[in-house]
Amino acid sequence: MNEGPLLSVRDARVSFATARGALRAVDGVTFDLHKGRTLGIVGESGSGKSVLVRSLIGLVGADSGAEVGGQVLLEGQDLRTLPGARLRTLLGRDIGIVFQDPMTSLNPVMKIGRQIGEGLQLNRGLDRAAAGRRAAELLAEVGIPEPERRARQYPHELSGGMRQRVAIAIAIACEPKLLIADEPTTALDVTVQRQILDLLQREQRQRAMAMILITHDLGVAAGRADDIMVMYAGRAVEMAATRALFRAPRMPYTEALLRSLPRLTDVAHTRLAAIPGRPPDLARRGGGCAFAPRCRYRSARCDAEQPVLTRDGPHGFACFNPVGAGA
Amino acid sequence: MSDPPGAPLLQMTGLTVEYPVGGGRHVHAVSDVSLAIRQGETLGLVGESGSGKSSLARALLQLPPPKDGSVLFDGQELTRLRGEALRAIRPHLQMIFQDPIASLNPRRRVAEIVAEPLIVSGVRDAAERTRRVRAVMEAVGLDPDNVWTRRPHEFSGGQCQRIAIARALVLEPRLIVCDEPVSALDVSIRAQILNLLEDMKARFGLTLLFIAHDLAVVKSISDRVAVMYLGKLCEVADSASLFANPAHPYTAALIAAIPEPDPDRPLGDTRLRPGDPPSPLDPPSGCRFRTRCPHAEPRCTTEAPPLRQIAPGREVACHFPLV
Repeated sequence: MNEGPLLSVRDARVSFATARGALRAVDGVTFDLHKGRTLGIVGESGSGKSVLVRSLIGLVGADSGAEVGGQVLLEGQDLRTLPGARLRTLLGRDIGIVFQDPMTSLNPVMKIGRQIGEGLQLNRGLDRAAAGRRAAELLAEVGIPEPERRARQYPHELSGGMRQRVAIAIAIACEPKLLIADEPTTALDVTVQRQILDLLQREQRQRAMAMILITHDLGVAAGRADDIMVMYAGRAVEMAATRALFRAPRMPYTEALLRSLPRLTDVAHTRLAAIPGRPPDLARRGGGCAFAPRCRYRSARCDAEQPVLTRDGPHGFACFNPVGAGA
Repeated sequence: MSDPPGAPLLQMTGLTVEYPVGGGRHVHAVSDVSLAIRQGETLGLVGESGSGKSSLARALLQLPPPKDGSVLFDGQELTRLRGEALRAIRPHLQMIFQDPIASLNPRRRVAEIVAEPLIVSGVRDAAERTRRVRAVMEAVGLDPDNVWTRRPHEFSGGQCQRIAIARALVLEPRLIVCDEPVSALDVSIRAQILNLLEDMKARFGLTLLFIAHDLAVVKSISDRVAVMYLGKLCEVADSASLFANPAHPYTAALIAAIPEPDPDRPLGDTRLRPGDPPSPLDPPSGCRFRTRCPHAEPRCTTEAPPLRQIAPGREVACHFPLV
């Protein structure tokens, strides 16, 4: 890989001032993403996965009472220091975004053809008629039947799956280099989820886009991501190629999570290996590893010192007692 | 392993639920469903949104009573009970909801929340109530002294679901309807609550109707599974056979669509025709699944397939079953 990364994130931090003190929602996350690759970011609610990604593109910042730090380089250009107008141009043109709930991300009072065409007029200099024609083509491409008729409809006239297809059409309209999908199928039924994930993967490959797929569902990440970053309590605790992560997790949290899942291959009433306790309160974090209170490999050092993400070849993990170290 | 399945504790026959939506139109939420829940079993009920699974659960608890059909619980016809007679049977039938935080009164203390069913059902002795509330809190893994005077907002989703389970158990019911009880919980908390439900079932001799859209969860906890689509039953079978050899094309599609946490497992082929589920306002004629079914033939448009037995303990509603 001679080319540099498309997206390079260095020591990203986001904290919110609360009545109980600073809440560090994202606490020093670093990663690279190359053209044509899909990075899955996996974590539970409060792990910081959504806040991290929203902060990268300026959707979480001073306006929302957050203090952000670190560097976010898209093709070498630091998004954090870009003036607002320049950043907004990048969003929609170079970066496409698909959110969890298409009903709230789409404009309810604008016809969907116009919503798709808007970015094309703004960023690609198409006139209104040309943008309208391209919008219909995009609707056909994302699998919406009768695209010319649908383009004249409003979001409420479409089903949830159809609306998410429209959101994808908007996100890819200007041929972005990076597509961010934040829990894109969480609100959808399992058979529709499957179709939407297939669509995202097909578009990502055809256009050689880089994709960040944020999900709480390890199954979704397993089938779609090249690499996975696991987040816990605001930090990246494990980063690896997807197969390596599922075959040989090094971070005890990842291992425990994988073991706790019910499997279709198990017979009914198989006892699940539950993880004791619950994720920490981010405003009351101590100095040690955030997972230590729930960890079966915990040692004295884990309570005293925060482990940093260290690499064993391409596999990164933040743990003093990693799984499979032969202690 | 579970005991051999017992006699029906609850028998639904011809259950039909419709909601008016104005303009003389109705949502056909549940259409002519007959299904038994056997004493001591966990029956999983699976379906996508709009399949009618929650409407079915509420109708069998008479919340509100169904438009048509019979619900026989332990020999009593629930749909004909009114007022005091219905209140007298309610302690035997309890429910746990998807959103544990929304299902608990935010202004009440935890002890009051768990004790309320006892008060409603007429347990007047305060000392007796305290004893039973403490016992059930300990059973679900809550420390009574620690949680007694606190309020729901001080707890996480998983802890709130424990409180909701304690409230459901305090009257020692015979049947608990669990409507998506772990869907709103974090992945690392789900296994705790699923294990707790298994433990409580064994300890209190419960029968469970477990509604969920996550098939791996349903397989893990259920003895038998019923699959619904647009208000109709597609298939009912024991858990192992249903997952190993689904008979209904919709069951097969659901299983194939599961995203498995295993990158070496190839993604299954749902074989569904493209498109979204039709609206329950205007369900298709004949077989309601035919518009998405890869095997649909002209007969499926004209004739609704009845639920019929294809093997002992296996029922399917399809003209062309896969097994």
